[in-house]
Amino acid sequence: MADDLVSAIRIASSGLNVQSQRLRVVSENLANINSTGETAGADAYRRKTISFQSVLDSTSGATLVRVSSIGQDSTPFRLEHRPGHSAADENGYIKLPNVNALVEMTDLREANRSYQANLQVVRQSREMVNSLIELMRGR
Amino acid sequence: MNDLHVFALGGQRVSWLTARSVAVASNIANADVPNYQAKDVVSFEQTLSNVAPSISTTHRLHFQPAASTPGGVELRSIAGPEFKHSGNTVSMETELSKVGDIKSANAVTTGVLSAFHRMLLASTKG
Repeated sequence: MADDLVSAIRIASSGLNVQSQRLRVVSENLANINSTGETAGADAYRRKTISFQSVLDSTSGATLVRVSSIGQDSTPFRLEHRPGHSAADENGYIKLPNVNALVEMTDLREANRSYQANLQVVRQSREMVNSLIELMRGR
Repeated sequence: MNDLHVFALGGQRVSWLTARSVAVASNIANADVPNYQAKDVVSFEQTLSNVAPSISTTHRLHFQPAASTPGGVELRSIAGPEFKHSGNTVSMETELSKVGDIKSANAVTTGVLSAFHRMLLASTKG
């Protein structure tokens, strides 16, 4: 019984883990929102994407979650006319990262909300364990 | 101690609540996984018939547990309230309200159990 509560905490912590990795990817994207290439015509920073996968834990039968892959967004780069830039091609255009700050902020909020939900599960499981211990104390 | 079915019943209730909180935990953890089907445990009434000492009905309005196979708490898939493009059927709001339900039901059950426990202790201590 308490073993099940422990596996509930383990499931929630796997959720916390993937949400924090998602937060990491979002912060990488936001930090590199203006990272261009160095040489003429070079590619800029390409937006990273993260995807999740549910995985069955064979010992407890619990459905955990893990990061299945961190991929790259293949949408085209933004082009801007800046002839003086070191990364400008022969027509004077530079490639800017395909990161949209609005999308990243939405993702950030969503990751935050999921993180809090998982944290709530951990909190509740701990309370349930505590109430069982309290029961055994028997005053 | 088999004379007091309330302990068996309370234990069954607590383990059902625990199984339910595991189901809710995996729903919340997998809320962003494509094609994940939300799960919940079967109702407590169905699980109740697995308790070895049967509850005798002395009145026609008494609660009658349905017959089912003995064993652990079974899981079932639940349909999502809305369609998501990713095919995920978890509704975060429903899951969080279940968290609250489980918490209060658990408090009630352990409260009842500790009351009976105190009663037994009082009778043995004299």
